[in-house]
Formats: sequence, C-alpha cells, structure tokens
Amino acid sequence: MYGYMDHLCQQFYRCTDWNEDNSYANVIETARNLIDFDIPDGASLIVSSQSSKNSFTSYTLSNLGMVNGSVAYLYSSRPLTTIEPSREIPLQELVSSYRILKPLNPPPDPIFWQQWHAGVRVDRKDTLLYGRLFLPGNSLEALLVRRLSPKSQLLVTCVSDNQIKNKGAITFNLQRDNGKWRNEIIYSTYESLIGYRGMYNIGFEESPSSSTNRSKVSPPVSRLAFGLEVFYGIASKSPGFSTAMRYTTQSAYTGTPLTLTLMSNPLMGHISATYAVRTTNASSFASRFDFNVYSYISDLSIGCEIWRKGAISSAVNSVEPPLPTDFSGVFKASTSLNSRKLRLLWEGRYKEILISTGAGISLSPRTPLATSVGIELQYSS
Amino acid sequence: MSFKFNWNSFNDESFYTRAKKLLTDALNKSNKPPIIVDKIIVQDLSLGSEAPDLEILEIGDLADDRFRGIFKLTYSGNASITLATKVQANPLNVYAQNAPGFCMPQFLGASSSLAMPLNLTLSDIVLSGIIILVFSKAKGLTLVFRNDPLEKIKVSSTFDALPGIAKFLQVQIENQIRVLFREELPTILHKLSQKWTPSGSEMSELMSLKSHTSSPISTEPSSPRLKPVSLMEINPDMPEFSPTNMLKLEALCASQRTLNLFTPAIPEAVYRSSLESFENARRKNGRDVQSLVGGDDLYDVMRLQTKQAQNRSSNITPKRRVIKIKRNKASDSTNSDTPSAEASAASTPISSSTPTSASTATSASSNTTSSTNTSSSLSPSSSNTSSNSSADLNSSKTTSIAFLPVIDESLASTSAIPSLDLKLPRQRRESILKPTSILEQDGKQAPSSKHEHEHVHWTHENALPKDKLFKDFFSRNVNIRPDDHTNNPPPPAYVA
Repeated sequence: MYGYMDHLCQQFYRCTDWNEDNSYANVIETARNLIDFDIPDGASLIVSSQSSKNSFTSYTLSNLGMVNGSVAYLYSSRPLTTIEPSREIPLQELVSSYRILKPLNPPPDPIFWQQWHAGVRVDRKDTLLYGRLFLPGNSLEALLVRRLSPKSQLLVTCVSDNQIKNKGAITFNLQRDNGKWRNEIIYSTYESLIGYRGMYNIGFEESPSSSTNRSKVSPPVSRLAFGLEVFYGIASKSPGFSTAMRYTTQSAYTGTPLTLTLMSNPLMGHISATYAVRTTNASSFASRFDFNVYSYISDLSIGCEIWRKGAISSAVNSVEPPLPTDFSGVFKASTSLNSRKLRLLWEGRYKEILISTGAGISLSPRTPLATSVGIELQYSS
Repeated sequence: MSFKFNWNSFNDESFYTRAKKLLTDALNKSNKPPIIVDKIIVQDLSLGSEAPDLEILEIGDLADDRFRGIFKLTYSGNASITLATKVQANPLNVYAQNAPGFCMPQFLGASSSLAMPLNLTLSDIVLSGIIILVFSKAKGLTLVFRNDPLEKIKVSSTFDALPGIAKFLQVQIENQIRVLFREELPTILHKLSQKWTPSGSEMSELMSLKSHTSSPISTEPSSPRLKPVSLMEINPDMPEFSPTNMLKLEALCASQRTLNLFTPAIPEAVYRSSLESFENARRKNGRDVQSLVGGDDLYDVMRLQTKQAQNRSSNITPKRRVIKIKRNKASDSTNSDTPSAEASAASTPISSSTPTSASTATSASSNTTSSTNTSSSLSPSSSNTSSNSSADLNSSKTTSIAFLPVIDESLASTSAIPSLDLKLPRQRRESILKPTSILEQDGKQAPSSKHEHEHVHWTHENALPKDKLFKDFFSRNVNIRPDDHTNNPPPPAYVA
C-alpha cells in the first residue's frame, strides 16, 4: 500500500498532468507490483491529516527493532483536490496493482500555461515540497518537485544521516517529456553518480488538443515502448547499463489487458522476461523468468492478486461488475523457485482504518516457518 | 641459540580438518561487506614441511614472573592457504546496497547481481623479522615486530587471467598482511595471554559469565566459581595453602548456596542472623537472662561475658577455661572439658571469653592442677583422645570443649572449693552446664541420665531447633565421622 506521502506525490503528478508511466523506471511496474510487493515489517501506524488543500502532515510510529517514528510535512503549491480521507478513498488508488496505462498525450504548448493579470505574468510553477524527520536516529529526508514547464520537471531528493558517507547525499533528476519520448538526466553526490535514462513509445496516438480530448480518447489498444539507462559512478568507477522493452495490449479474443516486458543487462548477462494479465476486474496474475548468461543462474517467480468485493455491494448487485469503490480488500501472493519463500499480503479497509498485513513464509526447511510478519495501519482525515 | 620445532606434529590429519573448520567459522562470524556474496570457506590449509627458524638474540630480563627477550624469526617454507568464496561482479549492485534508498535513482536492471566464484591462494610466504617479546605474569604477553616481517608472498586467484585485477589483489593482500603482523597479531596475542594472568583471568571469567547470563540458551551451566582456585593464581608471592583445606572450605561455602530450607550448620561458626532469635527464645522461655544463679543458660552467661569483654576492649580475645570440679558423686563422669585455644581463636565475639571470669576460674582452679593439666592440653586431638578415654556419655559422638568457664553451682554458692583428687582417675562429672549435653552434633543423643542436677538443665529436649547451631559451634569436631551427619549437605544448587 502506498504511504500517505507517496499517494500525495502521485496525486500531484496527476493534477499537473505528468505521466509517471512514461518513466523508464516504471517499465516493469506491473510485474513488480504483482510479484515484488512490499510486506510491512513489524507493526507500524501511520496517522495523517490534510490541514488545507495545500498542506499535509503525517506521523508514523513503528516498532521495527526498537520503537521509532517519523514526522512528515508536505506542501504543494497546486491545491490537491482529489485527496479523500481514509474512510472514503477507493482502495485501488492506494494499492499497487496492475497498471492500466494512461493515454499518452502530448504536453501543451508552454504558451497555454502562461497567465497574465494586469500586464504581469502571475503564473507560478507547480512545486511540491516534502520533508520527513526520523525521530530516534535524527535523520532527515527531503524532496522537491518543480514543474519547470509543460515538458520538463526537476526532482531533487536529499538525505541527511549520520551513518552514511559524507553524512548526506543529494540527487538531481531533470526530466524532459515529449509525450512520445522522455529523457532523464541524473546526478547524485553519493559517489558522484551520473546517469541517463531514456524512453521511446510506439503506437502513440497524436491528438491535436490534449485537454479537451482526454476524456474521449480511448485507452490505447496496444503500445510498444523501448527504454535504456546508463549509469557511471565516478568515485568508485562502477558502470551500469540496461535496456528494456514493454508491450501492452489487449488480448484479441477475450479482451483482457496483458503486458509483456523484456529487460536485459548486457554487461552482467542478465535477461528477465515478464508476463502479466488482468483476467477479470478483480484479479491479476503475473510471472517472471530471470536468466543469467554467464552464471546460468535462473529463477521463476509468480504472483497474483485478488480483489474482494465489499459486503454492501454484493447484496445490491451481483450481476454487474463491481464498481471501483466497492472493493473492500485485496489479497496478494507471490513466490519464486530460488528463494523458496511464499509471501502473502492482505490489504483492506476496516471502518476508517486501512490495514495492510503480510507474512513471509519460508519453505526451505521441511516445515513452513513464518520468517517475517508485519502489520501496518493507516488513518487519514 | 635457536629453537628446534617439531613441525611434523602438524601432519596429523585431524589437526588440519579441525583447524580448517575453526578458521572457516571465524571468517564467517562477522558481517561481510556486500561485495562478498557467499560464505568464505577454507579449502586448503597447509603449514608446510619446514619449520620457521627462531633464534634468541638477547635476553633482557629474566625473573620468576617476568621475561623479556629479543628473537629473530625467519621463515621460508611452503605453507599455503586457499580460500573459496563468491564475489559480486556488478559494482552498481554494491552501490545500490550501500546508498540511502530515498535519494538513490531507481535502478531497473543496471544493478542486477552477478556472483562470480573466487579462489584465493596465499603461498610462498617468506618472513624475516625481529621480535621483541615481553612477558609478565601480571600483565600478559606483549609481542612487537621491530621491522616489517613480510618479505614476499605469492597471491594467486581465479582472476589471474586479468592482470589488472591480479595486481590489485596482490597489492591489497600484501598491505593487509603487513597490517596484520604490525597491529593485529600483538593485540590478539595480548588478549589471549591475559587469560593466564590473575586480573585477566577474572576479566575473562566475568566476560564469560556475562555472556552466559545474557545468552538465553547457555551451553555451559557451571559458574566460574565452581573451578578450584589455586592461591598461586591470586597472589604468587604468598605461600600455598593446603589444597585440602581450601577444598573443604569451598565445599562448606558451597553447601550454603542452595535453595534448600534446611542447610547443615557450619561448625564453629555463629550465624549473625540467628542471634536475635536466640535472645527472644531465651526470654520467651522465661529464663532470666541476667541472673547467673540457678544454673542459667550457657548462652546467657556467654552473652554477658562477651558484652563485658567488648565493653572493655575489643582487641583482647580472652580465653575461656573450663573448671572441672570434681564432685563426690562418682556417677558423674565428665568428658574432658578442656578449653580450646582454637575456639578462642575464632573471631566471633561469642567465642571469646572474658578475662574476669577466666581469672576467677583460674584462681579457683589454681589449686587444681588437673584443670591446668587439662587446660594445658589444648589440642583437639588430646581432647579427642581424652574424650574417647572417658566414660562414654556423649563422647562417642562429640568431644565437647567448653569455652565458658563452667560456673559450677559450687562456685556460685561460694562454698569451699572441693579438692581435686589428682590421683584418682579422672572422674569428671558432667557439670551442670556441660556443653556436651547441649552441644550435640546432631541432636540425636539424649542427655545423660546420670545427670543429676539441681538446676534446670538445658537439655536436648528443650532445645529449639535453631539452638543446635550453638551446639555445633561448641563442638569441635574436626574429625567428623561420616555417620555424624544427619543431613548431608544437599547438592549445591548454583543459582547463576
């Protein structure tokens, strides 16, 4: 389940029309959501509130190891109107699941964003500021997102902690999105890492005006995307390179959306292929096969998620497909042959609290043994 | 002057398997850096066929507990060690594991892990160095290399095909081994040698005890106190005590360390915790503590005398003597009530006798050579023999030595001192306050029926259970017969 602050970031991107699906880092997002989901560690409690349309706070408390917690504040210059309290928010927005790709739209011309008033330009660039203080360890993390133009965005993240090298690190990420392609340039002070990410889409429907046609444009029938990333750590002389390809389509016979991706790291000889399918409105399945050409280490992982209808909706209508707000919980499971571990997760809502509990059961000794159990409670108002 | 090593003793197969296992466990115990993916296994270990050459150059200080010397060590044999592990070949993977997650760019496939096996062999080691060795029993062993001992070492690995990596490994390992000889080896040897020094052994025992109590599952149940301690370890200058005595004392102390409610009493010792109860018990039974007349209790008398002695001065430990007053009643036979110097040497105040009463006793007994006779025989053995020789009352079990002047009724009544018949065999009558009847070892013995005392005789039946302690205190049974003990000391339960 996304934390409150992550959810706010996503809503900020949505409000400012920034397509996160177009990022190279999210190429295999669907398979990663279904197979590599996060199980909460220990017991944690997140309480958040929206002070106004622009400012939000969140407190977390967890007993991982010893009792620790954090305090976070977020400010957004653009009012985020789509934030709902935890008793009303649809569960699909918070749970990472099969990702239906949004239609690609070319960004508007920058001139459309200009606002003039009394001869003076009064438009402001959308900014999001976020900071979190971890209490026992006195470490700090901060994030700044600034939408420089309809086509570019600057993302700055920094961490200040006593235990990392040089006591802190800051990373700059300049992103340029054209609709059809996207480039990112990354620089991080931690070991002086520089990197480049690029993404190119085929099957992109051009539309003359994005804002009016957005609702009418049907979801893309099929889309192919290529991407690559190159990194080089200057201080430690460590290079890294990988390419990926994603094909999203709907099955010709049944119409079920499916996603195929292929990712490879030529330097290390690592190839990974995934296949994810959304069988019904309430269930998805994914599988992934990893193979290393040099060491012949291979692995097969599978994952699934099943949504559960709420009690109210099942009484009202059982014939029609459930509405998005009717889902009351989701159950996820994943396993892999090499790790010999079964990971289970249940996320749902109870009254006003969003609950996420999970367990990792290791199957390698003959008897199953629960190696990690966790629960996370979220409340937001 | 050089040493000759019996290097062939290492050729034992079991030695190598055990050494390899120990080294493997030691290498894998600590947290490994993220670049090492798998366990480090010692594949091959061989100490070679040639022994190192150790020569004494100079001996600076040589004493019973100190040693200082300068040695010269050379080695050019064929010892070798081979390690096998897996290393991470993707440097970005190592980066991803170390970097803070929040500000790290999300790597998609660039940080995939690739584990490559690595076999590392160190061989052809040539050492030549000068060692300064200082050993003292108090501080332990200190070993310092005057120069850098490593002359040459050959590092070969599975990466030899790549000259850059091979050279990098050679330089790194040479540097590490130099640091090992310079810094780590002296520290390790110093810590190891501290186990054999007095303060160090205590520290190591404390550490082991702490680790045993802190670990939930303790494999070693015994506490360090169970190990017999030799006095030589504590203070080498002092003369050794008899180990038998030390063991006896140890067993004695150990018998008290139990959760059992009924522990055997320690002979010749008074429990401070029971003094109050004694006094209360006395008072409760209606005996007047103050009055001596009327054959009062032994204990009251003792207490009075002790108080007087303490009031005077605490340094003097007066001796108590027993006055044996011979009576006409031949039915009485007494045991030898000889005062004991050992008992007076005991440091408890009760045991000390008062000078005044002793003086009165001695004055009364000045005419009684027999008493001086008996008083002169202060050894427990003599009392034992005399008790054995005397009529058997309680002597079969105890040889009782009274510390108090047995204030006989004749004394108290200030009658004429009866004369003592020296020539008759010693017929001792049991005095009123005959401790033997009171001070029974195990309380089983019934008091003598021959006792005809006008006074209330504190007998065994009147004895409160705790009073047995006083009896034990006065019984001087060094040679305790095995059947004397009713309750053997329960097996000690160490609450660690």
